[in-house]
Amino acid sequence: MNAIHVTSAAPALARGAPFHIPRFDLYCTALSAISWRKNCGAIDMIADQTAAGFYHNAGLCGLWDDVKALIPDDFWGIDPVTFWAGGKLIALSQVRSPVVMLDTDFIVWRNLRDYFGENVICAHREDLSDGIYPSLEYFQMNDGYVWNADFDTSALACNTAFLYLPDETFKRYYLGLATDFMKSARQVSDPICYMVFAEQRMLAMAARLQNVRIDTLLDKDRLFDQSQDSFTHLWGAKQILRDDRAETEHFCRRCRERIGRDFSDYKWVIDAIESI
Amino acid sequence: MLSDDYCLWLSKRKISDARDIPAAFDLSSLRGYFLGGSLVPWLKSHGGAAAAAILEANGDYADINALLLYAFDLVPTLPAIIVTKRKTVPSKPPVTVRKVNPGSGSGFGYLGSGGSGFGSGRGSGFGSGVSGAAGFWFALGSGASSSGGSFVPGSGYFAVNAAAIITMPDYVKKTEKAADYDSRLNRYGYGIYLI
Repeated sequence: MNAIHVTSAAPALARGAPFHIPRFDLYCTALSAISWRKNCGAIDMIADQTAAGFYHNAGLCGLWDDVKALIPDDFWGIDPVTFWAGGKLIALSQVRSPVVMLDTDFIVWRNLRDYFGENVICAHREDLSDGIYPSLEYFQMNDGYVWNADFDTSALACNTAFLYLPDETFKRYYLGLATDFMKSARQVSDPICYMVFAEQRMLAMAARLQNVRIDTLLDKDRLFDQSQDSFTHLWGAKQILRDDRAETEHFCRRCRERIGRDFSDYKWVIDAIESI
Repeated sequence: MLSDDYCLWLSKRKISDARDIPAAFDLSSLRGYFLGGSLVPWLKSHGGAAAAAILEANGDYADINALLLYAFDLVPTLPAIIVTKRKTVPSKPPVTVRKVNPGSGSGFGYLGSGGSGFGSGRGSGFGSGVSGAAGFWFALGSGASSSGGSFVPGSGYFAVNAAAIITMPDYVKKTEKAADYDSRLNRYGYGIYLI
């Protein structure tokens, strides 16, 4: 199964910050790409020019089958601060279904051949807590935006750290709705609710509208049940890794050991990351 | 260049020929295809060259809804308005759309509602103010890449404050599998012990 990773520098650059990927993040990205290639198939990095240049300069392009700078610098006119993950949706529009979009902090440790069929697959569902997933009237949209009258707002949001889209027709439909939402949102200082609506809830509602079934890799109520041995998702742990140097060093050491032990063809990655 | 051998999904119908669009006109979906860059290429390869030409020739026309209606011959003219770049911030609330039964002889149209009704035919209220306060705050992580993209307990893009972290589920338990990697990380992500 073909997969993509996505990296866009636009959100960081729009905030006036230099584009940089922390070392722990690069190790996880490396393991995500390497493990996918070993277990599941090809994987490309879809990036913008800045991010592609970063991987090139870091000597990491060999992690992927290809690194493609397909995300335009103008971010399609979408506000990259509010829609910080919009690059994922832009990237998805540039590739053909069936495809898996994999977050760089999500690692698949096993072959998923038996999973892939006609149904969409996401990592897991999300409960619709009011603070993160407010009702539709919360959103301030530009004149002319059309809410679909048939949206089922009770559809649980989809966590798209892993997203398998088997069908181009549905993929285009979902991306169209999400893009319209992102382009039609007024300037707001809410980088949470708007983004997760476009990416996570729009997917769920689009599927519900078209009677497309969405399966999940994991049960949302058992995410932290440590009996599962197939998937790693750093998720909120990334913040700890940013803040806690000792934890970061411990994590990076484990990643280096894992690469050295099970992916010895990729030992060069360690030198590349350590030399950044 | 990606091929365009997919269908449009309009009014819960799969459309594979542009000539079928007027009868299934679905403004919400068509806006998405148009703004997502799919519509014009698709029209060109599915019998909709004329509509594609109109959309291309009026790419900066500010009223997308009117433009789409015009492109599919559902209104006779394109209203003369000042052409502006999109992504403007008008002050009006969103319009709602009512699709008129094509069999009625009145054709299609869309009705600006002033924002009082949400969802045609539903009559539910829409437009009342809502508090924007989230349950807990988030701050942008400095220098974070924009790859990844999930959310709660943390997306990887955002810092999560302590209060948010404390709200993690009670069922977070350590097991033998995690014992060799006794880290806080496994409470805020999952499967980290597998590394």
